[in-house]
Amino acid sequence: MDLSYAQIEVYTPSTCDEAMKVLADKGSGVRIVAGGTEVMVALRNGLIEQNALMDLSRLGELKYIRMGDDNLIHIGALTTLSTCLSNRILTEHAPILAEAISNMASVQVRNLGTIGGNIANGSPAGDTIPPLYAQTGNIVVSSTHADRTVSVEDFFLGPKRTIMKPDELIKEIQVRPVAPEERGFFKRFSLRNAQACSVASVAAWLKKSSGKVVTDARIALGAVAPTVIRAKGAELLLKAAPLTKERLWSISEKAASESSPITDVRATAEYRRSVTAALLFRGLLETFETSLE
Amino acid sequence: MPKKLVKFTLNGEQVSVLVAPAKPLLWVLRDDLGLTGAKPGCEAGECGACTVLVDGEPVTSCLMIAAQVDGRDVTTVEGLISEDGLDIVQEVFAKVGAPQCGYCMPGIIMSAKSLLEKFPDPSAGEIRKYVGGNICRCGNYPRILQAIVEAAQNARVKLG
Repeated sequence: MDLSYAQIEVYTPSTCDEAMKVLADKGSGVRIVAGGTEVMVALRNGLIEQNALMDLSRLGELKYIRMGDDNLIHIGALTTLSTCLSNRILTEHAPILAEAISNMASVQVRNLGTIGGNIANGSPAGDTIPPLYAQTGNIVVSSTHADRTVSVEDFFLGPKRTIMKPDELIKEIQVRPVAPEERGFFKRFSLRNAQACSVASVAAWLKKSSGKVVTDARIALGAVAPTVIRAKGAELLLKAAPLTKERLWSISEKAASESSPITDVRATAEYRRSVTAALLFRGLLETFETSLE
Repeated sequence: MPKKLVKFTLNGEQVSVLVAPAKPLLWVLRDDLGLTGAKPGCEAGECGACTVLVDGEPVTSCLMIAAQVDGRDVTTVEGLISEDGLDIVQEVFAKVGAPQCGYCMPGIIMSAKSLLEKFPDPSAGEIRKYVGGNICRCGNYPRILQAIVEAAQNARVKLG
C-alpha cells in the first residue's frame, strides 16, 4: 500500500498566494486536492498518474459564505459541502443549491468534499452545477497574474474540461440569491439516494407574475450532455404560456429533447431523456400546483 | 520521496508518525499505528467501513491523506472505549446483535456516535439518512436501526 503513495510529493500551502506560486511553478505537474474525494479515487483507480499533489485543506481564507454588497452570495471555494448545508445564508437564499447539496454523497464525504472541488472536477453529473446555472452563478479563478470572474455557463468545455489554465485555482463561487417571490427546485434521479451519481438532474429558477404567467425562467439539465446545459427552448415555452398540466408536460418533453445524453453504466441515453422530462414535470407541477388552469 | 513527520491527536493522545505524506489516513492508522478498527472496504469513499471522526466529524479515512491530518484530532472506534468499558453505542450494538460478520461495525458505530451528538432523539428517517454512507454487506439494517434507536434512548436516560 505504502509503495504507490510513497512516490507522491505533497505541497501543503497555508495561504492562497503560496498555493498560486506552486501552481505558477509546477502547472499541471501538480494536482490540486481540495477535499480529495475525487482525486483519491482517481489515483487509486489509476485514472490519473501524479507525482505531486497540493493539499488546500489548510487555506482558511477560502472557507467562507457571506452576502456581498453586490447582492451576491460569495462562497469560498474550499467551503465543505457540509458547511454549505449548515449555513443559513445558503439554505435561505440559495435553496436550489442547498437542496442539491443535501443529497450529495454521504455525511462522511460531504465533510471532506468542497464546492470548489465539485466544480473544478467538471463532471456534467456534478450536482452543485445545475443550481449555479439556475441561480446565475459565477466562478472566480485566480493565478499569480490575475483574478477573473467567469459566468458558470462559460466555465465548462466538456466532461472534466473547464476553461481553467494549469496555473489557476478556483477562489470563489458567486450566486444570485433567490428572492422571496421567486421559486426554484432541484430534482435528481439516482440508483439509490445516498452515495450515488446522478442519472439525470434538473434545476430550475422561476419568476411568476401575480397572474398565471411565468415571466422569467432558467432551467438547467445535469448529466444529459457533455456539460450541464440550459434548456432554453423549454424556458421560452414556459414564459408567457398559460399553465395547464398538459402544457407543463409538453414543456418538460421539450427540455428532454434539448438534451444529448449518453448510455453508460448507470443508464441508457433514452432512459436519461425520459427521466429528465419526468423530473422537470414533477418540479413544475409541485411549483404551480395551486395555480394551474 | 522523503517521508514526513505527521503529528496529530489520536484517541486523546498525541502521536507523531513518519509516513509518506500522500498515504491515506486509513493505512496510516492500520499499518503505522496498529489500529485496525477502521476497515478497508471499497477505498473509494462509498462504503463507510473506514469511517473515523476528524475534529469530531465523521469522514471516510480512505480519502484523507496523512498530510491533511497534521495537527488535527482523530477518533477511531478504539477511542470510544474508556475506563468504564465500552461506549453506550458499542454496548447496545453488541446487545441487540447488530453485527453479523461485523466488518462494517466500526464505521457504522462512528457514524452513529456522530449522529447521536447532533440528533439526541433521531427519527428513523434521520437515522437512515445519516448512516446512508455506511453499507452493511450482510444487510442487517433492521437491527442496526434498532440499535441506534436504543442507544439514543440509553444515552438520554444516562444524561437524565
